[in-house]
Amino acid sequence: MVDRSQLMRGTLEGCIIKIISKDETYGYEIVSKLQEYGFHDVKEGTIYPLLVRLEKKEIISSVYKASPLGPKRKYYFITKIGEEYLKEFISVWKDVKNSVECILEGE
Amino acid sequence: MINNEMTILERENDAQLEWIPDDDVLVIYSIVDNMGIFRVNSFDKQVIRRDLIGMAKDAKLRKSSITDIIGDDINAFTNDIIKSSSGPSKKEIILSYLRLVAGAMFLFIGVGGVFRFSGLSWQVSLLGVLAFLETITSYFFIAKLVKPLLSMKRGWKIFGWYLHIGALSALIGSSDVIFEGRYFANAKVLVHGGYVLIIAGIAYIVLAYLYKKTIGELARNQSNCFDDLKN
Repeated sequence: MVDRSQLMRGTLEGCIIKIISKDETYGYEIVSKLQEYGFHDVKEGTIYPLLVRLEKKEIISSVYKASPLGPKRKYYFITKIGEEYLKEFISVWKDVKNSVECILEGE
Repeated sequence: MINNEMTILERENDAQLEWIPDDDVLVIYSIVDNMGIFRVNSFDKQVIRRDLIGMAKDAKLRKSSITDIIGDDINAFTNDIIKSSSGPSKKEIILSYLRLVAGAMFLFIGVGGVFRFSGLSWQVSLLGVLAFLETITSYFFIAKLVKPLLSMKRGWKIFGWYLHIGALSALIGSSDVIFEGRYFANAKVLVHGGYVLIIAGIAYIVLAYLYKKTIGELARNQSNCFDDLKN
């Protein structure tokens, strides 16, 4: 059987950066959006190590702010390096998608 | 008290623990305890701790727990974070070790000698001092390298307590070897305790300052992690 989650995991980082690029957001909100788009197996625990790595690479940054519900939350936002990375990811993804579609459609 | 960025973060983290359930506190403690200075630098460890506490508080508001959001395999989650982090700081490891040596020399040889002989001059066995250093070095590697690796294993949590008690006993015992020198009677030298106290004391203060500076360097690129706490 095809491991769907394994297939999706390869693109998770790029999808997280895209979600963050739209607006400043926090961990649980990122997970909710990913689940809406079909990443049903994803939890905050799945994405936290990715967020740590992205922050270390300066692709995203973060700030602590008071949240509507009380406790301070860590909000993530994309950096200039992140914007360049995202453009590159989208370009690579389109190439890979085209190649796979060509193979699957037998062209 | 010398305050640095890590102290600010640590205090905030300790204060926030009361807002999350005890089970979540234990899980977070377990994760962070696995991050010894040979795997993750101390500043990053506190940043990660703050993030985990934040996740636990958010989970509590949703009537959930940190185990629900990170999954059952806490070991895998911890290893993923460690792989993604900035890793250890060689400077921090070296300064931690030297600071421990200076502190132990001041306490066990300097202060211990003064109390033992009610004076500032006593005979010290050089081989005994080497044995003492070997005890400190072993304790350092076991406490900072071995213990974190075992902290996730069942039944090893109590290991930490035995380690500290064992190290203390070994250091007190080895001070007997240093001063009495009954095992190395031919290698004793006369030492002025005042010099030991002054040199070890100054070394400890200098090393503590350098350690604070190192943490400051680690924190420099992550001011967003504690800027909100400075106000």
